[in-house]
Amino acid sequence: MADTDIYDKYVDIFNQKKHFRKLEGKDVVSADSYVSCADNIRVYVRISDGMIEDASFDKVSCFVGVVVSEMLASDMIGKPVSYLDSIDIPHINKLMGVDVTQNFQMNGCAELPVSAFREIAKKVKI
Amino acid sequence: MDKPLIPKQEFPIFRNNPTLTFLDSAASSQKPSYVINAMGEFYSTTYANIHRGMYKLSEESTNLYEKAREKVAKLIGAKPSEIIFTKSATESLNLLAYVLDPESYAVSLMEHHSNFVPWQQMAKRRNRPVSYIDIDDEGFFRELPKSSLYALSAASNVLGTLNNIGALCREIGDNGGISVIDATQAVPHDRFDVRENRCDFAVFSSHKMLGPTGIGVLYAKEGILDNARPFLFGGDMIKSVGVEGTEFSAMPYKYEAGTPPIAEAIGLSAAIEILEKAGLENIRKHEMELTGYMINAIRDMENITYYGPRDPGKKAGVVAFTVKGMHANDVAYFLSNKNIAIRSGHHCAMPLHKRLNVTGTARASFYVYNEKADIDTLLDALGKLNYR
Repeated sequence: MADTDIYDKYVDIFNQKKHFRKLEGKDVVSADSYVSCADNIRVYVRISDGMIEDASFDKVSCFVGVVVSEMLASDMIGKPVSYLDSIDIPHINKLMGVDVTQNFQMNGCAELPVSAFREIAKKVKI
Repeated sequence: MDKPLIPKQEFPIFRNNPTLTFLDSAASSQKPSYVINAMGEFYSTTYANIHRGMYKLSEESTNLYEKAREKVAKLIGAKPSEIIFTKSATESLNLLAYVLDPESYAVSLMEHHSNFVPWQQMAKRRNRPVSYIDIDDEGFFRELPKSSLYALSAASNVLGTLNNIGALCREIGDNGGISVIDATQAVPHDRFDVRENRCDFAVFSSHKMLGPTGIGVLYAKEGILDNARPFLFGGDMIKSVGVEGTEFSAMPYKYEAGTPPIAEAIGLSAAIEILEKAGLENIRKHEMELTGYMINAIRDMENITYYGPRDPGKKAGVVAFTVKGMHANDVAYFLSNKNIAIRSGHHCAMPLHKRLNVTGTARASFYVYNEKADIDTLLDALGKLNYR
């Protein structure tokens, strides 16, 4: 799939930005992630009784970073916290239906939310 | 500006990609057939290692390598013994960071990381103070702090800002300081004379001036490195070696350990011939016209924010901008789909982008093969950009 197809396919997810917001509260865990292009996102996960109740992100990222963050946040809500530990690039490829490793830049953009959510996995010690 | 200063036909990349609009020469320039052929010819007819062969091929190879040094020296008003070949401008700056030992450092916020990080890290390692030179919103340096060494760019790779390097180097020298000038975005685009500018050190790279990758230049004012220690040790940089110790060669060979980038020097030499033939003053004029044209055009585009001096006479041929509501990387992705190549991100200048309070910018940069039509293609695409 060419880059343009990804833009066409996921533009609604990008424009709606359903999970682009800050979460607050004692039950919220957050983590930052940076990539060499200078983008930076912060992700938030609300956990209750070992389950992910809500997930979101904010700060700065390009189209791919936003779409991957949106898809992950949407996918993880209602799942056990162990989901966080399963997040990696092959998981992103499955969610998006495209191999992001085929594009060096796109892979870097996808890594941004991946590493942030995995940082949360470390924090909650799954 | 209605046509390229050097025809696109002289560059195989444009013959092979006829619809390509290449506006990323500040990152690396395209290569003319003349340069490619010069390197191929050298490898095919004259190649041998230099300096240590008594046979004819080695002599010829050595002559061509040293003639390349002479050509580089002449280009910037230096002596051949003041020219050190390195693998890149980055290596030139790292070499200086290792061998110079100043009491304090002053680095501008506008520097490319290659003229920022080496000084920052070496100061940290040596526990020496670093001052950061602020800029105004157009990239002109504010007052220089007191320091032993100053690392400054002659032309910003993001804003294009041309600071008055001659005046700054004089001020630095008169106060007993050392000037290290990153001339990477200056030498390829205009006449840059190290003596007129009174630089102590200046660096630039071949690949940004029609030459090959793999070779950079370090100009070191005569005498200034005579007592400094070498950066790399090995062959070709020694006078004698024994178990009791090693005596090093004189400048510039002391700093050229190992087999140097020989074919790359030949390629750089060929590139300089092309630039001299086109005329550096003509290159400057051509780029100023293109830059002025683009700045004027985007002035009326509500979705574009421009960064840098508005006067093309005060800047090099780079135009940094952001598109309202769009990430710079996405701007570059969309343009790429129309076969337009620009740069996006922080352009290896994160402190500058923090100073400008922007995460990243899109950057179009011009060179001898660009023409007004390239900018029109870009402007047309910019006018139609959106995520939907």
